[in-house]
Amino acid sequence: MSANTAKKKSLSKESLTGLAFIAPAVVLLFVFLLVPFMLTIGNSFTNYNILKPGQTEFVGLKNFVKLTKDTVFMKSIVNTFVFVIMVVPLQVCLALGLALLINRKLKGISIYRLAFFAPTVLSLVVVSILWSYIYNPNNGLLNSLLGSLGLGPYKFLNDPKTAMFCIVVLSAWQGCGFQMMIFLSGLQDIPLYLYEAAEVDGATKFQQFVNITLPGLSNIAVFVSLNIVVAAFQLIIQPMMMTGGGPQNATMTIVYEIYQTGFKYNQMGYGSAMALVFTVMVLIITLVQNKITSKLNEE
Amino acid sequence: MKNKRLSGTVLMYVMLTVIALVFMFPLIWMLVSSFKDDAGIFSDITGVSAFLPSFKADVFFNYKEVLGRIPLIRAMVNSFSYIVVVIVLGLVVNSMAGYAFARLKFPGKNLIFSLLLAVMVIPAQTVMLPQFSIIYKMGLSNSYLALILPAIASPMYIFLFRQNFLGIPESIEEAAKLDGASALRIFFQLIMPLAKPIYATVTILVFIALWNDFVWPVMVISDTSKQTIQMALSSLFSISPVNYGNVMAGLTIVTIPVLAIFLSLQKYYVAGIASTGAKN
Repeated sequence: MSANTAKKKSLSKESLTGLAFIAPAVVLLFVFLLVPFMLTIGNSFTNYNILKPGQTEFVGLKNFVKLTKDTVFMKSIVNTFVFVIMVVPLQVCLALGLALLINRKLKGISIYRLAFFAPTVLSLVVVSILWSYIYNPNNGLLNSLLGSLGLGPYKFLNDPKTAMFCIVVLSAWQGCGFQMMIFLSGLQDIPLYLYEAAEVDGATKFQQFVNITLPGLSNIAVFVSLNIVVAAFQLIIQPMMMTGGGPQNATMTIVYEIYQTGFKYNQMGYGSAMALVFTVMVLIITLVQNKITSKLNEE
Repeated sequence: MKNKRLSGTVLMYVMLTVIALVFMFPLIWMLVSSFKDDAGIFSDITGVSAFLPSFKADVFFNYKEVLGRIPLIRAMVNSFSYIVVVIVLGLVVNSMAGYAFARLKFPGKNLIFSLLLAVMVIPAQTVMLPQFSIIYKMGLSNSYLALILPAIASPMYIFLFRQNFLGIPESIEEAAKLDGASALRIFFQLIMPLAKPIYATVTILVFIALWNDFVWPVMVISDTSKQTIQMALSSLFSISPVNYGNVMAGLTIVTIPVLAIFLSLQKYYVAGIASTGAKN
């Protein structure tokens, strides 16, 4: 009995310590993450405008009905998916190609690895500004170089047909170094004896690549692709800096539209409804991601 | 045979160098153009000379001009100061929570931890509007607290710390516990020094993320004197007259600190990719 109370007492002391250790983080996450998340849900059913807080009313599903008729928002969903569909294969292939290229024992190889990795530490603001000058249709670098080859001039970001693709290219360029490193560690995990055995059996380099390297990387490729999907879904800075969502809303994205509606035009309620739709999409992707990764881990 | 291998190696280097140069052309152009005046940039732009330096008498004139046009240094100091505060507070807050989840027993632990894993998937963009209105209602708009407070606690870093602490053998703490050391003391004097690498990793991840952050600072900061580095840079892009050389110098200046931090803590950053890449 007395042993029991003693145990209880020491437990409660440890409990207090534990609670004290998590308290600062829990309070901050509650105020700046959980409450905002609840508010996003709550506000999406109101006409909340941050400049007119007194006039907030519950409007039911009105915001969501309005969303279905909002051509700009619908366009931003299509644009976001188009961006994702284009950037994921491009970025994965670039990352894989670079990883294969630098996965060899050569003197000074780390300098090349660094070169390919460098763009990932640049800010998207820097990259967007830099590429705006590269893409500039009048006196940009790309048109000038293409012009000396007798090509162009192209309008790049000023043409609704090509604007999103231009953003895809710079985004893949900026981000691929990150996935390159993940592929690289995957490549180094493939046991060498597999290649040695294949060599003995007389397999060509290409056959080794198809039969050993690619299967060895398939899990990582899936994982890396899904990561890029989630990140690509959140596209905002590039169109914000480079095109303002134009021309003709060709580069307007979901997150950019949330920012414009809620922050620029103060329509917090309507913007929250957009944010909620966005969240559901991201959650579905994350669920699929978790399903696939846990399935892969089982194998 | 040996000759063949040698020429193969040379060919490999040539190929690597060509690909690296093509891949790096935006950055090479940025750096080289920051030392040219606009007439020089435009006359060079149609050929290889766009990527070759041509130095003027006053090499750094673009750098001097751009620093005179916008308060870049001030903005760098602003960014640097608030980021240091976030890093210091964030390391303590997140690692203490991580330690509690790894080692201590307390009521509701499993529930809180699963909640933590659940909120980890909430994208930042989902909560940015209400976060903004909370900051606005707290009267923190246009203050550094608006940049600092929401950035301190992070489910992802708590998780990273927890995973790392789980890897430390418990026997190390047993002796200290028998000596009657408090959990606080064990944590600060025993665990923290043992787990230095994870602290370095989180430091560099936070630094690069916040140094490059743009949308949130734009939402909460309006004073020019308080703006962060990326905000100052974006203003350079929108004020006329547009001057290529000035802009390229500005971009280069802003890139130097992240590159320096990255190069000096590269090992920990790569470790961070492995660990966050595996979860995020």
